[in-house]
Amino acid sequence: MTRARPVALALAVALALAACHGARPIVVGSKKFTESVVLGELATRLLADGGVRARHEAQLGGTRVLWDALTTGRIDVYPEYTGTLCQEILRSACDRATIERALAARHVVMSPSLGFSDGYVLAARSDVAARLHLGRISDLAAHPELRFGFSEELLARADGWPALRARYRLPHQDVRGLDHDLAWRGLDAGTLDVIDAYGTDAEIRYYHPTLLADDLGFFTEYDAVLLYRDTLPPAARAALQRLVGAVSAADMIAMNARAKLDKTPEPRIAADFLRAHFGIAGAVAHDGVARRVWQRTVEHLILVGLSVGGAILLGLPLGIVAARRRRLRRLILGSTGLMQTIPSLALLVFMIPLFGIGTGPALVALVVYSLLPIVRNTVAGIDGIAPPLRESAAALGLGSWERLRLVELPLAMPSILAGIQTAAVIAVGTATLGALIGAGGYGQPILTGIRLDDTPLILEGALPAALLALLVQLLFDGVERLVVSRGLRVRPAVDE
Amino acid sequence: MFRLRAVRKSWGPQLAIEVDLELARGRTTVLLGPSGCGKSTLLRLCMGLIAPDAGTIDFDGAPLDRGARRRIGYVIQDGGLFPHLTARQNVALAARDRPRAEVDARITALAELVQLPAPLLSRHPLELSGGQRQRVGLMRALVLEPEALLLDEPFGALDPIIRAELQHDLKRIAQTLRKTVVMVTHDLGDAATLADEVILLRAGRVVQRGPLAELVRAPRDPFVTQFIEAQRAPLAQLDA
Repeated sequence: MTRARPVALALAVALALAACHGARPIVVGSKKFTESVVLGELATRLLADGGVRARHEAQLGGTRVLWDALTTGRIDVYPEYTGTLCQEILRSACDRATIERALAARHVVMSPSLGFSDGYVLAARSDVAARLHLGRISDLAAHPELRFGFSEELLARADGWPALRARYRLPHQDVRGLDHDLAWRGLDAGTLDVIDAYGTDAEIRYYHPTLLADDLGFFTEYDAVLLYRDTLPPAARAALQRLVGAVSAADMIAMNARAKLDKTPEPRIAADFLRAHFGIAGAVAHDGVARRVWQRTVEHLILVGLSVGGAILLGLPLGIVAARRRRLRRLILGSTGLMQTIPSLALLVFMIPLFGIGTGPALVALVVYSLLPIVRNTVAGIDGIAPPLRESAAALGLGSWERLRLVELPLAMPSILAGIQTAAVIAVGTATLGALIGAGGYGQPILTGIRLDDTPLILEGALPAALLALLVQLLFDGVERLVVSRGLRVRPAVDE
Repeated sequence: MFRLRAVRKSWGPQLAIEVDLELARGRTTVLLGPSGCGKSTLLRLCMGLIAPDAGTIDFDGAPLDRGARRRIGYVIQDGGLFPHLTARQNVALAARDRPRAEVDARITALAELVQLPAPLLSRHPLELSGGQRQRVGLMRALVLEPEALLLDEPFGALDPIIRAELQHDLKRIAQTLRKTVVMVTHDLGDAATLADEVILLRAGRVVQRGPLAELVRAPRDPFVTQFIEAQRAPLAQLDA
């Protein structure tokens, strides 16, 4: 017995390790911009070519989302930039040794540069730049009337816009925070004069802006690297190593331009790049529109169905308690109401450290959003029962549970059902945001469409979503016939 | 049957009822009085729907509890029927712990007693007229064969012809079944038709108690005459 134990233990550990190794594919994450998605796709395909099972969770979100996902082990690899690492994530000095030390403490390894740097640049409309003779960032100080549109990330960071403004003594007040892709369109449309861009943006070639020289050397270098967990197996590390130094700035701009301007899907771009540079032949799945929409529909229905189902299971009892207990009512209605006021985007991001990425956290966020209409309408429905009927129930000697089951819930059902319907219709819309944290659904084509400025792709998500909302309305009319007593739906007879 | 000892009930600072009285078995007592005199409060105290601030209420010699309540039938204005249930389901709900067959037989017998056509039993309350709803309410109160029947303005929402019809039906039922009946009304016609005894209330207290004829013949207080004359005067004018 005693001799057998260490052997059994070792065997169990070995089996467990083998199981872990075999069961779970390496998950590569990427941020929600084209370059990151392409790099993520490249890494995933190189892993596969190296015989490592790998999966790409594309366009998960911003820096914080990916970093949290990596450090909590929800993903294993993602492309990052050295400047982002030291300035935003680690808040350390920007030399490589310092960064690597700080990463090691968090069990994260950084690859050498992939071959290009993608630092911030400021881009001005070329006609504005020509007219005002703008060539350097310093030149902006003389023109306070210029309208700036910066990414939220640049605006929020202490070393971003506030530091830039201080360094260059910029007087500008009209600074708007907006999505990077929208900023380019604002610049093109003339509603913005200066925006921030990345050195490898495809749009640089498309819109021909004037890039303003960083004459005071303000912006940090942003070398593209891969971050991965130190638990990554050697085979995977070796596969990723092949990408080091393999992508030049020109390569990256070309790939970005193909994605953005030619609407070539990232997997295709990555496959072409790998074939050209490594001689790897990679298949690219080709899904027809119908098949794509069907898959998105299934994902979306799962999101809406499960979240509304969860909200009913949670909201109905909460509503009943709130209707019966005066003291708890304010607390319950207040807190569900408060949760409703959290912007849905913010709520989704809050979910990441708690529940990770994917369908799970999106469901939790959607449940939270669906609660208020259900709870409120349950309370209103039970409250709305006429006092004579309450008295009748008491006179018949109905117990608390009987009263609820036989009288209160059936009478409140039309109101409760209306609440569930509202929740479901809202959920159909809100679930499109789930794509931001990798939950799929109709939001996926919308998100990609916005990123690629591809209207048909946006409609591929938006139209089915609108249609689904209509169907939900119709569905509930049918459900009402089933669960609401005919006695509550008939018109009163003419009295004698 | 009902014994109320030094019973007192207030709503905030407002005295609702303060009485000490006994209601005899097998008799029909009508609680009369203007709005707000406490007659409905008195009835709901007897049903145990509200608890007195002071005093005790006995039913058939024992304190009023949930078991005792099952031996009392209760009817309110418009029947108090649940709109999501059919007439039959409304009645059966009161007898939910009895065997199905027994309840069905009982409902058939009761429909005959209150003269409700059987096909109407499968209708929902909103598909019935006011008088029909009141008959179903009466059936529901009677289905457990209670010893006492409490009625709160049962005919309040009915037109005079239906009201007279139901008054006579109720009188017949009370006499047939020999129930103790306590009925709240402000209508002298109800009292004249049904009451063995009348209790006239004002501001929560008993003003006079006795057969209606006695209240008319020997009023104990000017209020008694005033209350009775207020309802007789319009017709008396026509005679003159």
